[in-house]
Amino acid sequence: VNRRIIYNRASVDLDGVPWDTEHPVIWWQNGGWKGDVPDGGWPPMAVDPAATKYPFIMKPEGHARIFGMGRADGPIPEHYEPWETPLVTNPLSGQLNDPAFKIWPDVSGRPQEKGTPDQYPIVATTYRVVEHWQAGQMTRNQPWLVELQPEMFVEISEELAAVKGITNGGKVIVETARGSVSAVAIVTKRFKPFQLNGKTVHQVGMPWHWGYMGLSTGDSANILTPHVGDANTMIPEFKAFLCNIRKV
Amino acid sequence: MAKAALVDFSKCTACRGCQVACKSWNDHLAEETHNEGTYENPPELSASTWTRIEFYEFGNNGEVQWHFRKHQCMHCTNASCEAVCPSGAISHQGNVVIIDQDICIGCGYCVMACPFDAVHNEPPRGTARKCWFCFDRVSEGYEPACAKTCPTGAIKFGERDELLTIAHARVNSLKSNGHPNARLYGENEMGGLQWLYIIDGRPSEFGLPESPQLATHALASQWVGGLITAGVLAAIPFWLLFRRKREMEESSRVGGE
Repeated sequence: VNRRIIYNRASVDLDGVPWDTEHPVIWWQNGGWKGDVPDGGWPPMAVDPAATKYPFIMKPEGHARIFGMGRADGPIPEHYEPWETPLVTNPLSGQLNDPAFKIWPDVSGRPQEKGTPDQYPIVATTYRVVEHWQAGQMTRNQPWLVELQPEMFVEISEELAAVKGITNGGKVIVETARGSVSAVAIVTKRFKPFQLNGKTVHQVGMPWHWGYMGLSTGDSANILTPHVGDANTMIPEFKAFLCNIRKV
Repeated sequence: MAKAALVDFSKCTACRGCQVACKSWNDHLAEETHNEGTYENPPELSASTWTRIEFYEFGNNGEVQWHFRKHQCMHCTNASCEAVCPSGAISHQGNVVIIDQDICIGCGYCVMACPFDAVHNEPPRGTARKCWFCFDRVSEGYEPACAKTCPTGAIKFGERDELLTIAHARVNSLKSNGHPNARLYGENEMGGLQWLYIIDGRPSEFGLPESPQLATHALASQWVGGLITAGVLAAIPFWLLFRRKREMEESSRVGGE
């Protein structure tokens, strides 16, 4: 269903009148729904109690849940810091990390693979670009796509570039406790340092598509990322880790 | 029947599918490029890169704007390239500007004259080359390759009159939805462009000339200026000669007394 907001029939009362009249999402009018595409077209609860359905249509009981069942790290939503974090304590609770996530360095006996904020004060994240797909086996061998995105890069803020003496288009080394990669610096306004517990923290971002073979070769961001899996799905924690960066 | 294309940059995501589709349809080789500190590549239009997305980044009071602009030949109604071409290779076919590769002598006048920097001549061929509005596709009733591939619908191809109606409605909609600087570019520039742009900001913020001029627009005044200069330059030696003669006559008269 092409609705903008999931379970949007919960935004109206039993007669189909929006709870929030100033920002209505959908409303019942002349025997039909107006506004957003309704998440299931059943009438409001009081209009036709026999034919209707509760709005949370993907839950067996049709109701919202306060407790999520069957999760390894507990039923209630909680904020945990990533395995590598610029924080020493969690400002929201006494538990810094998710107690149920899987950490391979602990399993394999390589605790030296964890970086600390004094050595690696910069937050790093990884992402994709539209020109390449995954590790690039196919796209880094396609000349027209290599032309568009020819080299491994790291995006950094103008503020961090000034601190580190990095120029736009210059070569840099990004290091973590696990390894280092060489990349071209893109100095951009799209990254900004942020305030964390009164401390200025810088963030950098890089794609992971490169590797040692193909038409366009370069270091893979996978050299940098930690070996941590989330508590329920083992999805690796490649979106938040600690690094340092220096000019070549 | 006047075909044109409308690019709505409020819908462009800079995926650059248009760049690849252009190279694919027109059988162009990839250029060897480097990352120069930007997503933009190749660095310039060239004889084998006929369209390109340009990226412009602005920061206003902590708010970041990232403008994208598709660069290619605009197919001007009053085309500078056509006006300066000495061999007659450049002509309008309908409202599309075409360079006849068999007649072009590679002099490069059009490269210099284009106000949009859209024509290039480079080895190995050396003739001037640019976007030809996928003339082979369009004349068979298909849309240009870039418009065909555009996944967000930012590039629309159709009748120019209809596109202008769509464009004005879209600009008004953007203006009333928090984009007061939205405007249409290309309706009247250079006598009307066949590539119409909806931009949210000043043309210069999208790498476009604010008021593009025909390369030959100052030709008449330049000719008059040239003739006056030539006349003055021709007169000076005579004036000097006659002044010297007059001075000699005057001094001889003084000496005689």
